[in-house]
Amino acid sequence: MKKIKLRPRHGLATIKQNFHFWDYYLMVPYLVLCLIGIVMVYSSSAAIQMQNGGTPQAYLIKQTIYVILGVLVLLFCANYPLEHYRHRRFLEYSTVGMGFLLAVVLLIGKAVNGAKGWLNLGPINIQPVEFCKLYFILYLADRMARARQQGKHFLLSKSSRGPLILAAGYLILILVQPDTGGFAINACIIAVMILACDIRWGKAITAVIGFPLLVYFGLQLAIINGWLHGGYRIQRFIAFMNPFGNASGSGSQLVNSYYAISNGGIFGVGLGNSVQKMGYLPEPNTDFIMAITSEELGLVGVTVILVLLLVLICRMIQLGVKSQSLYQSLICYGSATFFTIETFFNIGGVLGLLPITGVTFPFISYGGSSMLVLSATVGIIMNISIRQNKAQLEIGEPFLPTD
Amino acid sequence: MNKMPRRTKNKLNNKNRGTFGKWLFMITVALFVLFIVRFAYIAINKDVQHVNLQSKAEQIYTQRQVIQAKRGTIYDAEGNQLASDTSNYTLYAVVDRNQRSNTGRPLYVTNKKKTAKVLARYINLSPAKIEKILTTNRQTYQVEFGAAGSHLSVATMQKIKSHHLPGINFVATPARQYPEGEFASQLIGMANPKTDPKVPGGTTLVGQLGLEGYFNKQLTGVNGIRQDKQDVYGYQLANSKATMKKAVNGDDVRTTLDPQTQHFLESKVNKVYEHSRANAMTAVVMEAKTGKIIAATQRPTLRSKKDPVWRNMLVQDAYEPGSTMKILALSAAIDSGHFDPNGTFNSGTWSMGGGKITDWSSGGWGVITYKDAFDLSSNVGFAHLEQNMGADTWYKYIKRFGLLKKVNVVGMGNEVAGFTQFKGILEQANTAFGQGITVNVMQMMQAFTAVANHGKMMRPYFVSKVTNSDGQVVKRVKTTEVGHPIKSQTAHKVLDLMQGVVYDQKGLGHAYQIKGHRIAAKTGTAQIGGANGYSNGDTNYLYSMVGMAPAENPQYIIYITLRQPQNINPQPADQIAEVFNPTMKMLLNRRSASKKAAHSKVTVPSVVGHTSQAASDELSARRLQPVLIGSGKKVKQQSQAGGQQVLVNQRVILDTGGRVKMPDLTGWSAADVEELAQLLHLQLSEQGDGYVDSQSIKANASINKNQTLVVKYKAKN
Repeated sequence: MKKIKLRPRHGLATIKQNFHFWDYYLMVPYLVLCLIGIVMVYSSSAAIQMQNGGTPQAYLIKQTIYVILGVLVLLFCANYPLEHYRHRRFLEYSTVGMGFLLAVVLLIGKAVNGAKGWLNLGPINIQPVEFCKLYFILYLADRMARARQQGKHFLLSKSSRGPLILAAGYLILILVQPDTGGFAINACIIAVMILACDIRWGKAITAVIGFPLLVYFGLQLAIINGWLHGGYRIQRFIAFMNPFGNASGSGSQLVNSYYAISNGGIFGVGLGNSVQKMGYLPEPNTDFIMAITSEELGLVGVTVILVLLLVLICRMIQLGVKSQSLYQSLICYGSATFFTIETFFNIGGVLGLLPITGVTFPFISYGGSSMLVLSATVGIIMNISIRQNKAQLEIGEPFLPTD
Repeated sequence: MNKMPRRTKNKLNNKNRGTFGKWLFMITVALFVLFIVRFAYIAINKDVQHVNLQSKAEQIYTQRQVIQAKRGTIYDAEGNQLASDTSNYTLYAVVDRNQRSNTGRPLYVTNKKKTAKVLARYINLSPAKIEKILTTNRQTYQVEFGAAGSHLSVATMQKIKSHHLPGINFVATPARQYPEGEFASQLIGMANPKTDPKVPGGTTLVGQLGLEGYFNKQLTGVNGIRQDKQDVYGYQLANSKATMKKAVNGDDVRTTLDPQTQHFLESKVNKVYEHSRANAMTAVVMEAKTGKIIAATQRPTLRSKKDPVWRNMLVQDAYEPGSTMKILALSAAIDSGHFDPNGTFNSGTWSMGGGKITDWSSGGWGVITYKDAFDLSSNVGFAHLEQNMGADTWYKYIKRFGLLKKVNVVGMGNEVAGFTQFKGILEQANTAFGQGITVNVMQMMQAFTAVANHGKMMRPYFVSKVTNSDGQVVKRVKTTEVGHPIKSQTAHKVLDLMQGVVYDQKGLGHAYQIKGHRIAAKTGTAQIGGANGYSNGDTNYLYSMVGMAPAENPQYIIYITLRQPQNINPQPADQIAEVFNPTMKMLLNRRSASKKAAHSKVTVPSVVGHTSQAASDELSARRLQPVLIGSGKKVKQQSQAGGQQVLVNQRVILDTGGRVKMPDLTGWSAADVEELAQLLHLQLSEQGDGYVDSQSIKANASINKNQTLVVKYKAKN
């Protein structure tokens, strides 16, 4: 083990120093997942691209650029002083900016699959709801930590009203886009952060387990009795409950997802050999990339990806547990929730555990906004990890990677 | 909680936060374990909600493409197609503006006005209407044109295609064409496209009636199937193999129908049928010695515009034949030794068996001989003959002649066997003159062959062979002798008496005399029985006639029935003669011509090297026509090589070399002209049919190589 003397540094020297405290439990899964993502995006999109008259490499090139940008964003976020994220002006600007984006996307957003989620900015389309996730984490973590520092429960304190009303407003903007998946993820992040901040076990467990169950059975009851009909969201729920009965319509995606997983078996049919990506399964490079991955790389490949992601998420939670700062803990828990729920909604749709909500799989699915936000989140967690390592070194319990 | 010191509270909070983290950790791990387990369950078990994913996916990828077997062709005796496969086309227009070829060429209708204008020339819709159909909302991919745009012929399809209109396409459906139209249509039948949703490949031709129905299975063949796995875009999946089952095309059916005779018969029958306004009519021409049907027709047909008939009357209609039956009764009486031509009886009426038998002339002719009974077609006379030989004997002969039993002509299905009560002497006697017994046309034809063929009865046939798609014969119908009901002697006696019908002063068949030929015939006028007894009135009879010629040794039998003619002026017998006489005359003349031709072949001598004079003499001596061309003295080449068999009076062109002059071609046949052109290296341009009427190079004009000779032919009178 190499001893590192901690001396205060400035500028680039700090960044160089930070590399000694680099968290490989975050970095290795992140990079491996990004690389697998590039490969799978290429594999799943090439055929469709050719069919639509494009070059097969179009998505490969774009995704590679996103990953490079993502890594740069990560490096920046990891080294940007953590205090600056709590800066009042930064938070105010991002609140106004976020609200503006969400409002604009509602008005002039580009519709994809019925949802007006995309904002066309010349050569690229951005998805404000992706950025909203990170914004909520940073903003609410700050607000909650401040409330708790005054020794009050966040929900009970007067200072909670403003942020909560704001959050509720933004959530409604997302819901009416309509982006059910984005709404659910953001709502979950907020809920988990509130629970983490104001612990009341009974309520927490009731909320975590009871609410989704209530929604599920409520919807099921409503549909069986025919209280609800029409609307593509209801269609999706019906398809989710009985995909084979609607195999040529609304259940087609789930059914074809099943076929893909079944085709793949344990070891997969081999990279590039998916049949389902040849037009049978829609969105093979975004929403259903995990089904295609399962077909080509098998259960083994999918397990590797899931375990890598689990390592990344668990590391975030671990950092949150270890942290002495409520602010940092909340960011860690929020981020972990963000990743977990995003994975859950995507995989849940692929596996028939949840209705299909059009949520992408972290790092593997094609998408620029998603990649940048995920990278930024990992970068901020990295930032926290580096701080902890430094702090522990100061205390005398260095956490350092072994050579 | 508020009373606690802040530090303690913070500590507690930190601890709580840690606990929360552990919960979050566990929930996350549990979720991921759930994902992996669910993945494993689907990937390994391949079964969700009791659906076998693997087989279901295979089903989706597997594409079965039916390879349509070609339906076999039906030919006449000379190999002309009577029924063959073709396609009908349904027009559709792609209007989706996203449809472009790989090179970016539009595959949709680009110019609606122009397209509508062109299409209106070929389909039964106005340009405005077509344009309206072509103008749709954005979502539509293609449009069709209803009845006007479907069942288009190959020719129409090709004409529309020749305009190269973008977005205009066709779907082919199998169809059947009958190039000869009403030619024996009842015997050939009809095949129509039928769509069976259960059969992959959809539309197939299903034969109804006639050969199309009888040989439907053989004609249809077996569809092939190409099966492979495809992606949504129609490309075969990698690692998958296509399996292929070849289509087996349907068998071809060759009939014995002679095109010339059939066409001749059809036109004659049409004329009489229209004139008489009869309810129905049949006519069959058969080779007497073999039972081969060379022409047969009926009216109405399945193609008749008014009240088409969907059955083959030749075997599916049973009727009381009337007096033509007397030929069989006479045969039976002679054969069993109960006929005395000079014996006499009292004609007119005869009361017997609780009823009365009446002659067609109810007053009768007084006491007449049995020979006269046949000439005059006396029912009373034949009742006596039947009584003389006895009902049992007569019934035995009825059976021996093959009545009341199916003939089973290959290619004619759903035959009715005919029926008679044969109870009581009145009814038994009735059967001797063709009442109280039903028969079908083929049974009568079969029975007549015994009379025409020295007592040997031949089964009628009109299918000669069925060949499979490889050309192998899978079924051959041969001349079949089905019995020997009467002695040869008897047959000749009956033929003698049948000549009496035509030539005796008393005979009823004078209308059937044909100059230069001896005819044996018998007429019949049958009452038509129904549920309420026999109908009355002159128009309610079945008039029939059978004729055989040459009478001494018949080669052809023609049997004609005319049911309920509404117009009986001229008499039905004379109307029937309008079919019988020309048809029989044509057949007999043709036969003697070909017979003569067979006897009039000579061998061409080789005269190359002989002097022109000697060569001419030698050819003339052999009844050949020498044609000398050229100015040389000796023959250098001849158009027909030595040793060849040619017809008498054939022209043989002798080339003596030197300056060649054009011969006078007037009256030459096309074959002769072609020989000449080849010999003299002339470019030939021919017009018309028949024999040379005019020639572009004048006779005795000099000829140059490769000069063009225009020849006009004209039919000889």
